[in-house]
Amino acid sequence: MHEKLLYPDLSLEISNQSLLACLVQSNKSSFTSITELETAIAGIDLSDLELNRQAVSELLLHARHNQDFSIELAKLVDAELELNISTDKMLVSAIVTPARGGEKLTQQEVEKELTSLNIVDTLFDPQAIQTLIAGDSPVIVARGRDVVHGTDTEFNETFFIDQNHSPAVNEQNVADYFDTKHYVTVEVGEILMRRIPASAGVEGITVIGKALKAKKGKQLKFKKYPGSEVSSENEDLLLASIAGHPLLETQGVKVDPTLVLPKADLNSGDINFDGSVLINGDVLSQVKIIVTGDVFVKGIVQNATIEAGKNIIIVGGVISESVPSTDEPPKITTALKAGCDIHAKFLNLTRLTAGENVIIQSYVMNCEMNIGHTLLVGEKGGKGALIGGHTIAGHSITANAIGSSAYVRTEIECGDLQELNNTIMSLKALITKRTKERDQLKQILKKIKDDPAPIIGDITLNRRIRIVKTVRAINKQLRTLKKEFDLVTLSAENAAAAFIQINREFFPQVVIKLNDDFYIEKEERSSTKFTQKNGSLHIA
Amino acid sequence: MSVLDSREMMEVENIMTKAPTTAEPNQAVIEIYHLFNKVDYHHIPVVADGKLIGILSDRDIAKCVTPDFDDEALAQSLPLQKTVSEIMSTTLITVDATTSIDCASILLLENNISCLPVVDDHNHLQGILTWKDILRFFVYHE
Repeated sequence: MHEKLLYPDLSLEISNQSLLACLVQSNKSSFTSITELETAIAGIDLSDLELNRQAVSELLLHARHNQDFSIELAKLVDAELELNISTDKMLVSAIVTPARGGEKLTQQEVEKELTSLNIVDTLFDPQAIQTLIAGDSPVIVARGRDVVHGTDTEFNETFFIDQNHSPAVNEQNVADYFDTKHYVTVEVGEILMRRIPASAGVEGITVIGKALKAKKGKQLKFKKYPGSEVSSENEDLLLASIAGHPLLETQGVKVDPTLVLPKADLNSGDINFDGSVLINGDVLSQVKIIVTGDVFVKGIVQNATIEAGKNIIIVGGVISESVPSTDEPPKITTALKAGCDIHAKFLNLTRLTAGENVIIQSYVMNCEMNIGHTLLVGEKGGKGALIGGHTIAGHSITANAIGSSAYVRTEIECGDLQELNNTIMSLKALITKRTKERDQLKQILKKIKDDPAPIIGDITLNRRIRIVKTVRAINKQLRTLKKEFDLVTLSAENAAAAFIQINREFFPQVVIKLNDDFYIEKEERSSTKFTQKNGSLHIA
Repeated sequence: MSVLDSREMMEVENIMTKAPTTAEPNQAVIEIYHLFNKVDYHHIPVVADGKLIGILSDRDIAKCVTPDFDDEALAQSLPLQKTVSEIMSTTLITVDATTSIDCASILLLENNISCLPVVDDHNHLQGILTWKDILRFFVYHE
């Protein structure tokens, strides 16, 4: 019990968590207003005290009538601590209700409360507890240790050339654009792939001390593909069992014996091959070549169609049918389509689609091209000109010259950021919607967990099975959507950094579209680079 | 492909009622009451500025009136002088046009509701899917 004389006729007493006021009869009261009384009480060291204003009024009334009186002016409330353990038992959050005239919270009390909840003391966060005591809340005062799951076996191929390899540049600062990729062949016994074994992971712990076992990484073996075998001396090495062209597969490598032909024409007929093809001569006269690997042509391609799952490399050039003698415009009758890159000396009247890059030594004339990433036109001492036609590239176009002195209309487009961003937004929305639906179905599954199967007549329906199947179907859809999202995001990143670079000459009647910006050149220029800065076209 | 296989592929858009009749939030309930007496559907989506804000069923209206009212009493009946927004349901379970019919069917059954409004990303009403539409699909789709 603690007593304090506030005025000659008024004393305050703290007893049983209460602040009591005791008024003794006097001729004249020492205080005359509520404000005066409240100010005097505020001088006592009782933090955040909440006075009962009605009691204060009553006290004043009795003081004015010079009567003995005692009343409870306030309840002294100690600080209150509320601890919550997250549902996954990985976090303990704390909320503190500050003391109102009562005892403040101490570190020992917080730790005692945590211990009473069986929280592991080594997981306490002393700094957070200090923050809590200082009055900040909610605060995470203890954290479990996350489990680190093991990683699955990895497979690293050894034969591919660095995809970021840049062309060699000579002292005149001219790049050899043919020095970007090489035709890869392997010999018998050559190492194709190395296996990195799975790891075990690191165990975690919940705040209440439950061990969280780490999932071991999946131990995977090499898959068997034609042309490769696991080394008898080291089971982490995959070797070529035949000489040929390696193709990367899931958990392994396939080695294709390359199909070699002297030339492709009416005599060879159409070629449809699961692997790669090497044509030592020309590809002529409506021949159609479709392969899953690479196509190598040592001669020229004229009036033909080539489709390759990977790359098309043509040492000579590519042209369509001979230009007719009439006034009719020449028709495009040659088409190239590659999953990855296309290399050629020149392109004339060609319809071309490439998943990644197109590298042309000399010139590109009146072609229709759709390129996933980059177009490079030009080589050491070469003209490197892009003239006429319509070219679309996902990331960049670099040429020594674009357009011609005859002012041929040449249309080039780089990036399509707006469209890609729209697609990203749509995919995001779709992923959100499917996820929400899946979660709704999961909630339903949880709700009906113990319900008996519904019966119609004498048929028992297992609704759980149907709901689980539907959840799986949505999960499958989500996986596809997420893959698509990743691909489009990557394309958008490329488009955001899109540029068009002209190393030497740039002519009028070249129409440029860089993402959303259009530009038509009206005068001849020398070296120019088009980029986008802060959303608008930048010409340097 | 069996109906069971195909339904996993089919989407709500294929079977929903497109451009359904809609009500406005400040419309008088009595107008909708008379409408329900003439048509063979039982739900009407409530739309404001093109966005779905609620749904009104003939049951919601039935709760407001007694069947013994004559026309005059009906017109004077206080509940029917209310506006649609005062009695519509605003707790909505919706789907989008690309939701699978399977998923929509489960949501309908397990939430014990009779129709699902179909909305786009901006909550604009695109159609309505009722248990009858789903039943028709399973019975008649080949």
